[in-house]
Amino acid sequence: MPAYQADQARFAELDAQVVGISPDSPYSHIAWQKKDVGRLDYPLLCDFWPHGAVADAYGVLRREAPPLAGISERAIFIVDRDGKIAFSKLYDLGQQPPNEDLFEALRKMQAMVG
Amino acid sequence: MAALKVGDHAPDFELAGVVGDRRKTFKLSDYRGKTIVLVFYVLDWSPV
Repeated sequence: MPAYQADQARFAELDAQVVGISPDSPYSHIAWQKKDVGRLDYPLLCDFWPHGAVADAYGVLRREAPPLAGISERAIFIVDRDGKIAFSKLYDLGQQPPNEDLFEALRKMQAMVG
Repeated sequence: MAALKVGDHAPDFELAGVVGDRRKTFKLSDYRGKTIVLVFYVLDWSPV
């Protein structure tokens, strides 16, 4: 998640708002920033109760171990101005998704809108 | 269950959340007209 923080200016240039989401509580999100990743200036959402409901709605809730049932896939969706999905990609759990994937998709979207 | 695909309607939702250490509720449909990069990640403090 720090990779999105580092690239906040580039996302802003492309007129895109990053939003992180995991099945964690707000207490966890706050403590995680303080003790581990540092402050993130974009929202971190709590898909906490009903557990993983939003991940489930997007088809990315993992129901079985390993490594752990109830976690979310590592997945990115770009939602366009009309509320449609313009980019959808699943990544390996252990992989940091490359932001270049997103910049490329966002540039294409901008070119189409004009 | 398969992940949603390009062209699908993005299901609306409203969730509690934080920005830094401040609580902030987020509703997807409030951002109509904006482009949102929705990053699902495993967990805070995930070893994977």
